[in-house]
Amino acid sequence: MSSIKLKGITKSYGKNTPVIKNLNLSITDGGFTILLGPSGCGKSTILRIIAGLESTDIGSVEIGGRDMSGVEPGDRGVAMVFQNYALYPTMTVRENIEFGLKNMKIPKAERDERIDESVRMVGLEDFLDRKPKSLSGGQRQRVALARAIVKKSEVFLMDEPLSNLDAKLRAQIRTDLIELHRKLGITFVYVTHDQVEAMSMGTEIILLEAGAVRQQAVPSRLYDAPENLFAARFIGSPPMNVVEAKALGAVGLPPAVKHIAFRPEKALLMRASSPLPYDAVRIRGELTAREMLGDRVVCKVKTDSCCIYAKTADEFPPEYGTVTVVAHREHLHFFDDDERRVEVS
Amino acid sequence: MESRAVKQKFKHAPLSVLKLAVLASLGFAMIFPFLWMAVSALKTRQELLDFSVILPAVPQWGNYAQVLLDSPIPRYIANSVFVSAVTVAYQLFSGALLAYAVVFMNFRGKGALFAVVLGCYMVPGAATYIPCYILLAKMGLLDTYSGLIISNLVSIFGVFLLRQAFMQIPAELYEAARMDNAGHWKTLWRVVFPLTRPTFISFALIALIACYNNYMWPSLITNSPDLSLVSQGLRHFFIESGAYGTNWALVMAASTLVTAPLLLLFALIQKWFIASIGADTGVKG
Repeated sequence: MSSIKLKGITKSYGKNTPVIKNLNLSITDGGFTILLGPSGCGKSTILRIIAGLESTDIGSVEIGGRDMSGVEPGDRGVAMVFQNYALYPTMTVRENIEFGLKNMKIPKAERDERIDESVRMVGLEDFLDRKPKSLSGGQRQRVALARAIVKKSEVFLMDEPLSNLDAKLRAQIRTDLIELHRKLGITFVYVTHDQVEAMSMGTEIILLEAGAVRQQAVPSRLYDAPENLFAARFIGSPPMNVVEAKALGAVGLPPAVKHIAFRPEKALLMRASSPLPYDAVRIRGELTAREMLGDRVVCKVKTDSCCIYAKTADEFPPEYGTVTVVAHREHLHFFDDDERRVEVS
Repeated sequence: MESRAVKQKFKHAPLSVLKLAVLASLGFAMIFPFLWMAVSALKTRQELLDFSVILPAVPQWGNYAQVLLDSPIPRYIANSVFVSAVTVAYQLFSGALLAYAVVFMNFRGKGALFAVVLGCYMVPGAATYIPCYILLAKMGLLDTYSGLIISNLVSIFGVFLLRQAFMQIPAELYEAARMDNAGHWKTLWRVVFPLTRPTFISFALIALIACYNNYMWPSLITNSPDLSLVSQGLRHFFIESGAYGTNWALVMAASTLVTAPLLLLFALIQKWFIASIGADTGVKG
């Protein structure tokens, strides 16, 4: 049992306004939960509060049903991987991994066994006697992972562990982490501002803004049914197109609907002269830029009131000039004045 | 390519010759008094007073032997080595504990504590002589090794130096140690100390020299010649036979012998010291 519960957490630094205010959060046992949000949204602070590295003004943390007030970080049964690896530079890889075990007073034979197992998992068998400075960024990250794995904790906390790696290595370690999570079957809590990491690895995403949860859902739900405009605008690359309902002159909608949104992937581009499908919104604009991504082309269309992106798999997108962006009714999302989702039947 | 490099070299040759000349003359000026002292110790009384004599006709090795075997100088050196080694060991230990607390631990009044510590640094040493003397007298520690050592257990300069070094250590390393179940003691000696070893060494060196050479304070609180440190001892030795009877060659030999341990220490540590500079911090910036 290693679910995590945060109850009524408020945290401020010094006398400044709180970065987190009355936060309640529940993280499922055995899940790969992502804390996602822009810089400064408090996601790392939340992780550090769970780890016990940061105190709270009020509120409590429970791990596996046990209240963690006054429990030292080392005694919480959690392991942490830091953004900057935080390997002990004067120790070899083996000593780095072993340090925690020695402090936990684990007998030598078991230590050796656990170290062998963890380095095999991350593929570091040949580097045990090296010092961190002679390892590459990716290898250092693996040492940090092994150091966490070896403790056999019930909870694995990761603070943007991939942000210092290059794109190729990042993609590779992403899949490694998914496999590792499945193999270990423990609770992963992963902090990132990168939605690709969040969507690809997470079994659940907690989207944060200014210290508050904006949506907590499985990745597909977050993508398919954002609960508010913040979620709509944060997820997706490019993010959802949001237009004022008024500007579209859409009829037959409830009066509460103020914003209409649709994913660039669902937008169709048509020549102004093409016949338009029934039951769709259409916006005329000027196609001003095309980005070739390989499998897709992102087109930027400037309209009178805003910019709209369309991501099309079409090998021959329309030429520059006047086009019509079309989005089918079934692909539209509606939001009210408070930017909350409105279900329209 | 090669000819260009050679040309470059020649172009800069006058400059580097000048640089070398300046450095060499400065170096010579530094080492001259020591060489003069060491060589003078090998001269006869007449040779010593005649400045035209640079090297002695027959080196008087007996002067060194006399100082080593028939004078209290070895005792003074031993006193100085013992007192300064123990004192510096304590200063390193207390400095490390205090600096660790001030840098890594969070507690009420931390800022005030450090302000008081730094405030002590501002007080001139001479102003503390009388209160410290009275304190030692009341504790019955005047004219003892313990008195010499206890009155220097903490070096504020050391605390400050170590604090500056500890502040360079990334917070993540300290946090990683906490996640690894390491207590403060283990974090200090297994994580922080190996990373700041150069600072420990340079402070130890500075403190050892200061302590070894200390003159004023030890001469205030000790009386018996058996407890004298080297500076005090040299003075005894110096005035033993009155201003006119001074055997300068012996004084020179004694001075050379007194300086030797420090030079030896410096030579040993400096090599180590430079090798340990440039350690990696382990955190990717």
